[in-house]
Amino acid sequence: MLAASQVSVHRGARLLLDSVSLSITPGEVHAVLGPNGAGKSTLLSVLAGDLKPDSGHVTLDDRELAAWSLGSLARRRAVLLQQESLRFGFTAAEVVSLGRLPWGDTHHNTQRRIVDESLAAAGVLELAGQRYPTLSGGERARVQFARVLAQLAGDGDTTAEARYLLLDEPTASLDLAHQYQCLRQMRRFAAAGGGVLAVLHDPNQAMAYADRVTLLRNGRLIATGKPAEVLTPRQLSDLYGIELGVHRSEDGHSLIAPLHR
Amino acid sequence: MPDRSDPRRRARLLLLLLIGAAVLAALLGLCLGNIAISPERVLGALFPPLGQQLSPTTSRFESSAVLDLRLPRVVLALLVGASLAQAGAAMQGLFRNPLADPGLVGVASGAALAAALTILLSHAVAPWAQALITPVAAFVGGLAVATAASRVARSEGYTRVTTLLLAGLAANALAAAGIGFIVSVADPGALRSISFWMFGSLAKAGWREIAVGAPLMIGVLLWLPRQARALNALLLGEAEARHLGVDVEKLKRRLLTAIVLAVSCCVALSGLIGFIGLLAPHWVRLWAGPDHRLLLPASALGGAALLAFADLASRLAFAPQELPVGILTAALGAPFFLYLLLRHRDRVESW
Repeated sequence: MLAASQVSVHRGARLLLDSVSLSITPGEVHAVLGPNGAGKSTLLSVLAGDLKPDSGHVTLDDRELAAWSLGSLARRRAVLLQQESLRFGFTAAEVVSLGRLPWGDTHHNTQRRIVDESLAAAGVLELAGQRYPTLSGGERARVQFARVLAQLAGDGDTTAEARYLLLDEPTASLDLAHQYQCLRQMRRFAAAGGGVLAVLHDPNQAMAYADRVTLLRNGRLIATGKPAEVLTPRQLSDLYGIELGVHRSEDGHSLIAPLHR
Repeated sequence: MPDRSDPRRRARLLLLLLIGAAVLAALLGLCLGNIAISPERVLGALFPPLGQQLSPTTSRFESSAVLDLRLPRVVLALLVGASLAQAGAAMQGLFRNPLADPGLVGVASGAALAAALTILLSHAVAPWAQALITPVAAFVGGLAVATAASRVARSEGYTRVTTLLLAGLAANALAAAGIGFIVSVADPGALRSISFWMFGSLAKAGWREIAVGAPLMIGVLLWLPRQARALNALLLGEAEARHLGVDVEKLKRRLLTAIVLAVSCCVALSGLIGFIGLLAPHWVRLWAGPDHRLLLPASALGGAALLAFADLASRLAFAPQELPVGILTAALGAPFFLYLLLRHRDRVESW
């Protein structure tokens, strides 16, 4: 389990995170929602070990994150950031194979198989030979997603310890089809025993794909629990400051959307 | 550019080509000069037992010209070329900027300032002592300026790359002022020595100089390629590299130290020779992509060949007069670099 307990982060006088506790459990997709500036990315940085909280603890399997070596941590969790800054002309396949760094020398064929599977899972297998800087923003995001999948593909057979995916707005720059492909891959990763934390913006996607939802606002945890309990129109209207309602279709699907256009 | 089909075959081909070029440059460097010596006689001088069979007539004069004058010069050209090119490639990876050059963080100018200072002050000491003092001072100067620049750029445990480049810029300006001062007070003898050396030249190459610098340069040449995977990860971004298990701060410190060691050595032995650290890595990237596992060794080989050819040209162009090789690399390198920029303008961002 990857867990933050009572984590606070200050930036000058501003409180970015105010005593937030949250955990990522193997087998679950945990979605974090909240307005811009709510502290979602800060929380993700704390969980990734990039940012040391001013108070509180982050633990992986009950051991302080700081006590883990960077190498062993890299074999247990992967992080997808919002911004990518790769400007050198690697091919998409080479970018994905960079994700294999924590595993040292893998046999050429195994490496190739994992890279191809990851590319396929992110829907970018046909871009394998393309140079990364020539790709569109959405294509780059999918290649980066393939890279973090490859990082946690492990040796192929040693799946004893749960691995964790931390995704900051993984669907933000994707077209609709690829948003759902990405969400399906998150589910598949959880079904295989991994834990996922994803910052999402669409409550409908969180409702459909998450096992647990946490709402953040102004660095504070507003609510956490099962999607159906947390993602109520009232809670969300309150969170975002606009009036939202549930629209039900005849075949029983429900959709959270603004009441007024 | 590299397709997926067989990058490893392409890599082997490139390395073989570059080794061929370096060997050719070295052989030509041994054969050609004020007097031309045939390849058989050069081999005869290099390997006396073999020489007895190949050309029993290799004279003592020829053999001395090859072993005492041309060979150390060729060896130094190969070493300095390889070191500058590989240090350039590593620095571009470290700064995630294909235009970064060891000259930018003040290493080269710091070394130049210290060396100029010792040339000015050490005319009283014996020549052998000066041959030792100047490289050591250059080395210390390069290290000191680079350390000062990276101290300025370091805050809260992070080395900020933009600040480092700007600090390097300031250090370069300061060193230039210092060198200008030294030049203005130097006597003609020291002035000639300083300026010849400022332009970069391999003319002072001797076995003694090589013995001082070679162990360090070879050490760095062998160590840098072992950081190739970490450098590849660093191209993704510092946070991303850390997520992949790379201790980024430690890597940056070690890389900077290694680069400064290598470049200070180069400046100490051969003065300021520019553009090798930009040209060789760029050419390799255009051919084979940015993977440091290939880029670092290939840049080293390419830089070695490049400087060996350039030195040969500088010896032959106005023979018996000799052109400082740094003038040649700058005169040829700068336009070629501009040509690369123009031709691949749309791809510069993706180098």
